[in-house]
Amino acid sequence: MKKTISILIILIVGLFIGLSFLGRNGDYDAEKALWRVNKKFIELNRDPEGVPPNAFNAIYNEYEGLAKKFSNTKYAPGMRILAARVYVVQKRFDEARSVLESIVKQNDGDENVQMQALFEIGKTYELEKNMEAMISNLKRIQGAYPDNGFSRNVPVLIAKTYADFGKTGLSREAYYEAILGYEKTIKAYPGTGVALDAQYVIGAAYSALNKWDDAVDAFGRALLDYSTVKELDINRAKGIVQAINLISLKNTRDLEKPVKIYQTFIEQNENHPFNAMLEEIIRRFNVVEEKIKNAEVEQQKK
Amino acid sequence: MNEQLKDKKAWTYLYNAVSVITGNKIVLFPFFVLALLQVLILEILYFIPRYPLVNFLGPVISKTLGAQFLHYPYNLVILPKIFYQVNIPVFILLNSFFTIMGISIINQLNVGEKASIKKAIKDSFSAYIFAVVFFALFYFLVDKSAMAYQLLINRAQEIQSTQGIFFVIKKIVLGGGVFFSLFSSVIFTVIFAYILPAMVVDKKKILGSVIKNFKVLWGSLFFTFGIVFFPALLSALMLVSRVSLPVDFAVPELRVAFLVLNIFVTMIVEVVTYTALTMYYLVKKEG
Repeated sequence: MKKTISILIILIVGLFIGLSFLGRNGDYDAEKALWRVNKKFIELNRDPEGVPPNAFNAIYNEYEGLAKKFSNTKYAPGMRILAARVYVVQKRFDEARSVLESIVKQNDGDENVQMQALFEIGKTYELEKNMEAMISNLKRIQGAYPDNGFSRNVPVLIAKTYADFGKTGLSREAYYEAILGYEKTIKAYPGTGVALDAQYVIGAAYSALNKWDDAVDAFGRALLDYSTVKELDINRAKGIVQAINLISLKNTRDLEKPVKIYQTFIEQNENHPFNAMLEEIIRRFNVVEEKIKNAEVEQQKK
Repeated sequence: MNEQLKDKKAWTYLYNAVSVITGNKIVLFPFFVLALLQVLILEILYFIPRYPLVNFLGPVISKTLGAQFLHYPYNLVILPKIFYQVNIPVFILLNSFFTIMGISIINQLNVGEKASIKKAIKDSFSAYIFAVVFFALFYFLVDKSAMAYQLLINRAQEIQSTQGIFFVIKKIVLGGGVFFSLFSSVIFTVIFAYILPAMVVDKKKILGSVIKNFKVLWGSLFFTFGIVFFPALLSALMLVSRVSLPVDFAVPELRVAFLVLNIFVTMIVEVVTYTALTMYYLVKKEG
């Protein structure tokens, strides 16, 4: 009896010691340590103005300490990014950027980490309302990783940044430049998901320029030219259709154009899964058009 | 058996059960082994998100229980639920075995023999299949009653009142879920209280045990309820403490410590309850 119980207790204790030893300083321990420091940081963030700098310095040191201790885990760069955020909260942007730059340097070749650090750098410029630096940072990201999804959106993000800072002229120029760039992309990657993305962004750029007809045409091409591309799934198609419908109802007040786009799509793509959805939209638009016509006749009679 | 046991009072039986257990530590043995096995299972679950177990079990756990279980502190928040689910087969396959062992030891002590673990194991094997069926049925009933209570919870959630009697009903129904499962477990334990003693002491099979159970239970319903209910108050106390644990993960490790404590509290509740019930069964048989 005693032997059985002793064996079980030794097994439980031994397993606990053994597994604790094997897993020490691993990802789980890193998560645990990070959670405790994050908790303190969140607490300080509730009212950063009322927190003495020493408290922030202590948190910064804790993050840096964790990054050193758990340098062999996937969490180490994230810990340093959090350390940089401690500076950001204190509006010590130069110091934050210095930490983030060192992360970019130390993680050469790690796209995820570098992109994250570069985003954070961008955020510091945004908080400083430094437009030139924001744009230059966006171009830096594009230069470093030209083929990723974010970089492909950089031309419109630049135009949007100009617009956010009230630089309308520069923004328009940037949008047109972006459109030209995306048209080149479409030619370079015909019939692919990349080209579909570019076609969609052209639509969005025309919308930002208030060129509504061109926007509907661009979105329409996204639907018609990429009907067989796997990236055009139902959610994507719904997004495009919503954009076309919204512009047609609100801005151009022309329901014939979207109906024509949808009819062309149905004609070109027999038994396509989107057809039922598009047929329903055509039916509704016809009802709306009928009502508008009746209202106009009523108006004329009066 | 003690002369005091002629006095049919739940407290007397519970007090004597505690005396028997403290005087004969061997009674504790099967229940303690079961508790240690549960601690071992809990320990493995606790270490799954860490190296090296995460390398083998991580992908499976991620698919079956969700990726959250592999990350701190969410794993500790989900741990009680996972432990409960893993404990279902343990309850049916192991609880049955060790509870019969416990009852066999009490039976041996009653006839004045020196209690033998070997004989208890032999008794356990001979009644094991019936006991497994009984425990599976018991779990099924408790689970179904919990599902019925869930329907009540769903209905209560539809109550829009923010004051008055309906609001109070809503509060009671929503807050009483954990206590309901304990209460239903007490009720079903009472209804089937003497099935296991009948299987071990009288070597009866399923049907015979059920008939014998109701024969013994007849006229002793409230007394049996007392035997089961009073030790279960300890579990209720644990539930109250569990419900009052901070929900904002203030001390996530507390949940694990609590689970370990709960395993041993349940062990005490079970050993006292089954000792008292078996003692009464034996008194009834002798008398």
